[in-house]
Amino acid sequence: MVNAWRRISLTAKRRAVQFGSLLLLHSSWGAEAKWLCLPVLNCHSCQLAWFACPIGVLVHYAGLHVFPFLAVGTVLLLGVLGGRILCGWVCPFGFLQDLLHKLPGPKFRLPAWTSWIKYAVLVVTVLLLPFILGAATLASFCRFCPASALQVTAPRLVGSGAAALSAMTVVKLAVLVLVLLAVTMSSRAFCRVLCPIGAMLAPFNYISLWKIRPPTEHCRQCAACREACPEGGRPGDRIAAGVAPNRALDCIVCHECQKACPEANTSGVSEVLPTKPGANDALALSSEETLE
Amino acid sequence: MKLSRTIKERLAAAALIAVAVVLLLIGALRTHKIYDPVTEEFGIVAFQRISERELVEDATFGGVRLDKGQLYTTYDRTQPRGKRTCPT
Repeated sequence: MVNAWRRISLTAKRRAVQFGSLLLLHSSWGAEAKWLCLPVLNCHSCQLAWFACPIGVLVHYAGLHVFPFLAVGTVLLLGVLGGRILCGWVCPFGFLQDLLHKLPGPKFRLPAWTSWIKYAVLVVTVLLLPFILGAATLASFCRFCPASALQVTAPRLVGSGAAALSAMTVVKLAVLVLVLLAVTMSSRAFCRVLCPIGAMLAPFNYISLWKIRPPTEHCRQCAACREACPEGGRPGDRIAAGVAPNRALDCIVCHECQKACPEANTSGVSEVLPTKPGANDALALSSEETLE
Repeated sequence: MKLSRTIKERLAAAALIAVAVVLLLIGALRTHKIYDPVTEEFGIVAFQRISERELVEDATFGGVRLDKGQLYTTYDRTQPRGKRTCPT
């Protein structure tokens, strides 16, 4: 059983966990636990949602001028334990983005500076504007949240027809369409640029107890890990410095860099990945050839 | 004394876990006064205390509003609530 689990690729394991999370997070037919904020982008207005969205709760608490002890405590605790691991393995909207990016079509990487936008989104649309204008302000993040549009607005529109259509509904659905188009072309574009939950969890990557072991001590800067990184990050820089690759703001702790490293099986950390018979020999031979 | 990067990371993580536990404890013990707008017409301001947990649940569907520094309920709390969705 353990061997069978080890033989499954890391990506397949991640997809299985993401799919399981999607089903579990949307399985509340009666009971709810909406006093608990789970830091993934999953609207609590969805009839089947189990947990509260920390963004929705922060927007409302900002509007009420009350400090959200439970919400902040939960996000802080989960952030310190796993950093952004929930983004990479549990978030249903992240899963949707991963699937959409598999569709054929033009692909591009967003410039690095765009990843700073999400911090402004968090401060302005989740904390500042709701605090000043109230939770019901049209400028709060919930008003244009694509997860909310997908889980609540679109189903309501299908159920109620044109009666549910308003200017805000049209804006929210337009944002959803734009985001879905963007993530088809650029991997995890929403997480990278706009997600306020990612912005909240990102600083915890630097101290989280979950650490990805650098896959090799002999990094050749081949950039294979960079190609594999769904966030378009540069894990190779950290691997070369002997630092855990997830010690960066934009890492979603997916472990793809660890899997992609061609040196992983030759540097004494082979327990990280299932080793194929003969794989080490082939890699050793190719590195000798390179040296000659 | 020079601390290694790992030690510094663990110290910071431990400090933040302690802060998170304190926040969760305060959240578990704290209560909020929620006023009932209906009974104000007789000059008697009725309120009830709800836990932070209940206020988080109320935040998921706009069950509380702020007016002149006081929190008011937006629904009849004597009735069973059932599933509700956020107006935003």
